Amino acid sequence: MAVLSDAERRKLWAEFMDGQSAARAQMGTLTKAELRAAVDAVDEWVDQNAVSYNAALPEPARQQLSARQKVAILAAVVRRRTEVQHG
Amino acid sequence: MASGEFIASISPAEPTGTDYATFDTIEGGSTVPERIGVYDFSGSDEEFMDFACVLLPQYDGGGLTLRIIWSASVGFANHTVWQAAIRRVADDAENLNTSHNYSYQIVEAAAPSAVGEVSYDEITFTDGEQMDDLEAGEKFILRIKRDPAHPNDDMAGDAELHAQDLLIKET
Repeated sequence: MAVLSDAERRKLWAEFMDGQSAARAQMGTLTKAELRAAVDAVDEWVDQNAVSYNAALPEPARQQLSARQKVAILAAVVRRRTEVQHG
Repeated sequence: MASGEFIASISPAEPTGTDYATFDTIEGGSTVPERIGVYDFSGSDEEFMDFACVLLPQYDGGGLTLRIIWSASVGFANHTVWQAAIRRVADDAENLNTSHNYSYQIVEAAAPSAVGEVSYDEITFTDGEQMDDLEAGEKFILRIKRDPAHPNDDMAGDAELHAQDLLIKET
């Protein structure tokens, strides 16, 4: 899959800011543009490392799981690591 | 009336028909927490809030200064661009069913130095066109918005307008 479109990245950026604002989670002196650059960079990183991630999955999971399921595992592991490390 | 005197009555905030800032509360830090009502203005999308006002008969033609109090939900030290405009509602003259071209005045306001603090800023209107030629004793609509697309609006997250604390004084 290619990187997200500019419109999708903007939507993600806006939703992230809304979510952080609702949680009143401080972002210090980070500007909107710097936050958007982070969104873009993460999307680029995901795109560049998708093949590596897939290769890291052991068989038979690599063959049996759908692309959506593989993403769900990755998201779940990252989420759980965040909860364990940061509460 | 002398310069610096409060010169307008301001009704509670009225959300615009679309694209309005959303109501939120800030929970204070006291043992019995304060609950401060604010309106959240997005950092990504243009949002508005209206206030029905009356310019007091004592107004002496010196222009207006709007004082706003606001806070930031997640960031500090960066800037929010606030804008305000006036729609004059003259006696037997202004049809509220027709569109009005709001002429905004602006302040590029630095965020408070910490989340949880507030910033006091002012937007000024000179007498005449900037006030939509508003005259003493008349009703008007005060429209406030954040302009997140402005190149100097760089603060991430919501800007929180403490809408119950607006003041309008004669410049």
